[in-house]
Amino acid sequence: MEPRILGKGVSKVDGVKLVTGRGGFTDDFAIPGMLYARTLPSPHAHARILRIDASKARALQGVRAVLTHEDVPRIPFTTAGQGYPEPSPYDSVLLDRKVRFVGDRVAAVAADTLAIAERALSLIDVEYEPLPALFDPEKAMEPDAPKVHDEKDTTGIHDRTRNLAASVEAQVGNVEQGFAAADLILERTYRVPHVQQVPLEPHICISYLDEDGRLVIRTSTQVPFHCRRTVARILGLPVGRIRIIKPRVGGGFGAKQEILLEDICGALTLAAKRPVRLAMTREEEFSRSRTRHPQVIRLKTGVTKEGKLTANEMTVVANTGAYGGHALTVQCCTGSKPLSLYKCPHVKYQAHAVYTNLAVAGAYRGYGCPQGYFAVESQMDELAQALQLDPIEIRKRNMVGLGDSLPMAEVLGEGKEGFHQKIESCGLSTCIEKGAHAIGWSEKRGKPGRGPILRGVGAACLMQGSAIPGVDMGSAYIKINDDGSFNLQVGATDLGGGSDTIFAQITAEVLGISPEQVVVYSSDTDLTPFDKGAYASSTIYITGGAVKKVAELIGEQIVKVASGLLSRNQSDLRFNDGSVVAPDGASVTLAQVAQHSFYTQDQFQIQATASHMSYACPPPFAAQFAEVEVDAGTGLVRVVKFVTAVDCGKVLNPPLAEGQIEGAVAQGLGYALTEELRFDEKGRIVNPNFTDYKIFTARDMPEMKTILVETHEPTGPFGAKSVAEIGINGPAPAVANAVFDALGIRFLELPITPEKILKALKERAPQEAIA
Amino acid sequence: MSLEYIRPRNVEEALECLLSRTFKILAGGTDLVIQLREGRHKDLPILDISRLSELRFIREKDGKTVIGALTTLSDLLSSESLRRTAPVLLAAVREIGSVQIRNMGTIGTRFCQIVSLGRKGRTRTMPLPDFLLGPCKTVLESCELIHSVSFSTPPVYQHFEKLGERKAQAISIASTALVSGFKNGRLKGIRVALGSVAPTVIRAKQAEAFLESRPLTPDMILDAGEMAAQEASPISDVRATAAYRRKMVMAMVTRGLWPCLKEVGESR
Ligand SMILES: Cc1cc2nc3c(=O)[nH]c(=O)nc-3n(C[C@H](O)[C@H](O)[C@H](O)COP(=O)(O)OP(=O)(O)OC[C@H]3O[C@@H](n4cnc5c(N)ncnc54)[C@H](O)[C@@H]3O)c2cc1C
Repeated sequence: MEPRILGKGVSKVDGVKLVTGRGGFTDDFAIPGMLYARTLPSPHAHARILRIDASKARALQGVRAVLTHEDVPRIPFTTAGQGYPEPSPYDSVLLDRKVRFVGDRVAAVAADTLAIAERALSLIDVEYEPLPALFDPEKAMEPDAPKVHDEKDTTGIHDRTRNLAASVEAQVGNVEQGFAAADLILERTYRVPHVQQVPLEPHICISYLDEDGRLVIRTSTQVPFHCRRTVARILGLPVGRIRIIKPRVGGGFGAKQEILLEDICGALTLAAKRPVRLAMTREEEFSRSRTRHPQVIRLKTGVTKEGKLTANEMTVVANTGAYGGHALTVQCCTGSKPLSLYKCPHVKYQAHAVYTNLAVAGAYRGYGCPQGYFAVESQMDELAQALQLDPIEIRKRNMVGLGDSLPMAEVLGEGKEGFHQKIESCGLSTCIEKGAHAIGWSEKRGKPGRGPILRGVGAACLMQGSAIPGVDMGSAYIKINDDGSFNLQVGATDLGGGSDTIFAQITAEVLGISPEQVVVYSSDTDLTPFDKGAYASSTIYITGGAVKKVAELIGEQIVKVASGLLSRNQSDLRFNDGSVVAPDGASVTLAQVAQHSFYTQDQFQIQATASHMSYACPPPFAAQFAEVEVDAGTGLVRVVKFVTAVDCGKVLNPPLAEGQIEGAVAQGLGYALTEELRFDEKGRIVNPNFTDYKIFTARDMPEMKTILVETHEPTGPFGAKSVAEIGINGPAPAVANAVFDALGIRFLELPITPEKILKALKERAPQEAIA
Repeated sequence: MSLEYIRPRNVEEALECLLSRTFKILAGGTDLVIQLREGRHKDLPILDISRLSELRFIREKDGKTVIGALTTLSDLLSSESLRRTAPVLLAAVREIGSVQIRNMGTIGTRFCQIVSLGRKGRTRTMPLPDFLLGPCKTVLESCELIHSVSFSTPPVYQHFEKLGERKAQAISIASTALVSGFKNGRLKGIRVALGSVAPTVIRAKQAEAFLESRPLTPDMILDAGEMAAQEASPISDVRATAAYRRKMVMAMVTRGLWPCLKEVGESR
């Protein structure tokens, strides 16, 4: 049957309140008696705290609590909000005697006003013993390098003595054999920088004690349930004594898959017995939130004359910064997804995630894949060029398709060995065809024109996953109300992407009602059932599956009641427009069913709950195309047009799917051309603001075209796969390939800045550099 | 935080205030409010002149344009007369900040030849270079305010280019403005201004003199670009290196000059 509501551009259920400024964000609530907290950042990249004296701060009028490492127990944990046990080292404590990057947390203050809190920070007297700092991950692995984590009580660090937070190695086949069979071997080293997620709403939380003395934390998080578990550990409270509430969230992109404020905010509330608000400034968001792992990627590829891959070997050195949350799993994904896109009998992957004294890396949309795809998709173009093949042709000769399995995904998994994966839906070749047509591939490629403005087009192919197989679980609860409306409760975390809306659509689809009849309440650990949280492109695939199941269970209960009311067979009844209808036209409304079940006979609440998980992790596929103009005089690259053709299975809400792609492309273009956190020789970030850290603005955005190529994924709810992350993977390689098409110069390092372009032009031909 | 704030009713009153003590003047506030938030000017009272409509005007007379100090950047963009006489100015204004910044921000001293400073009972007027002393430093005294700025109608050929790391809301890496007339195959009255490549905006005077010295040729354009690049004294910062900035002066000045070849030809 054609869906009525899925596949339509249903308006967001939270749209009106957001656009009318009625808010609902964390900071839209103030609690009487609320204190304002600030934390003291480390001025050193690496230092031991010899002495810390907070007595002057404590004595300041209006200061209600001050915490230093002397005031709190030392309980190692990971800030990463992942399933338990987390595949990340327990290398953080609430407050430490050592600081490991500029901005690391030294102390915390809660006071009557922000100004008093700031002043109190300045009164905390700290004596540091600066230690030699590590900025280069390759040097940090050397045996005599200083140790970022030398404490004995940390666990899960791969090799403390070599600053290795995590290491991973996996092989399918035997690459030596594969290289021996190659006609051509290409080996390149790619470098990608520190970039930041820059959610518009910085991290913020407000914590307080409720009437029963339980700790309640309203927080802008992607992972309320992991947050509750981790905060319980850090503060030594039973999980049942903590409630996490996630209000509306202004974006997270992975930066909020971390517990960065809730622990210390909660500790301050416990210390002061008062509500406390703690928020990051934009500068802190840059300096002490999280970043994408910078990597040095060595990629060696063997290929036959016909352009068939024989071997692929990737070696990654990643800079995880001072802490190792997500270090293992991000590096797993760099290998498992980009190295699975093309069929290749022999594949080897090795990665080290190395501690340094720089900004901390973590989860960021794409989760290791943008790095890997930049290497793989640049390399495919260079191979095509060497073999005189069209870049699209070489991809077509190697790409995976329906029925193929993904051996790298299986051996690498995500933190532990994965599960067998077989592709059951794949629209990649259609994506390539439609995308190429939309960009004008055959007319435009290889025609740079004559200076000073040179033109080029470039392509990249991609796949991602949908949730972490065998790990991620989501659940949902529904009950009916007197008027035939429903409450849907999900633990899932809508960060602005619109999952609450899609859940309303799914419920409405199953029960034959309109989405407005579904009141969605999400992400409150007291009131909603468990959910893994918003990450790994999992929410629609996993929690959507739970919502579909629970709606169907509700449907069964309703039909049972209706069948009694109508004296018709259950199997003959259908949902239609708020009623249950028999083939002969007899019907009852859902309101009648609800009232009957509440008040009339065999009274009960129509209600159900369901959970969903999956061992399958169906990849969405995409082909992305960039058209650029390169100004040979200034080195500036202008992206003129950007096309994404994406197969995310059945599209449940087209505008929301397009929004996911467009947002991801905006971030990916910044990665390609303008974004980079820069550090001075002391490890301080020199551009921790929007003036100097350049994200793409509306005026910089190219003409965008998003083509939704529908397939049906048998394991997904109504055939859906994920769409949240995939779009961020392709802009960097597509732009790099387009720049190559324009200039004939290949850039192996991001971002591709005007200075790098001018330098490369000059090295090639001194006179040409000036147009 | 508390601050003292005074909003005079007219220019006369504003000048009286300024004579009596030291204020921080608030016009559009797009610079000042940021500075206040950073904790600067803590002890100074604020004199809000933003509503003094006497200082918000654009007048063109006898080849001279006078612009009141409180004219907003958006006002400039909607001025018919400026569109005719000084498109180069509008091209530059269009690149400033965002719509919001242009709606609030005032012209102050940003684009002009002559600055008029008012103080109680007296006005002094000077060429822009005399007004600017260095980055964020001017000859303005605490008892004065900028009354207006003015310039004589620039020659017909006008060119502006700004280079930033992205299109909107980008502090420039370098910028160039160029105006010129043409006579007998030569450039006449050429002015080459360079932004963000020296402590203040500067003119590339050697390049200007060279360009006027003989009939224009393609080689001269390249040489003039080189000269202008040498006249710049850029620094390296988070946005670009000094070497890149110098290259950009060369690229932008030559680019601005190429169209002159054709115009010069027609003036022969
Ligand atoms: C996001 C952003 C982007 C920007 N982008 C650009 C850009 O691309 N290019 C660019 O050139 N600028 C840019 N600016 C700066 C902007 O152009 C200036 O802030 C604006 O022109 C200043 O005008 P204002 O009226 O807001 O000045 P205010 O902030 O009110 O004042 C600025 C200073 O001038 C003094 N002052 C103001 N008026 C007078 C007067 N009549 N007499 C004496 N002193 C006076 C004030 O005391 C103060 O010290 C940007 C600013 C922001 C916030």
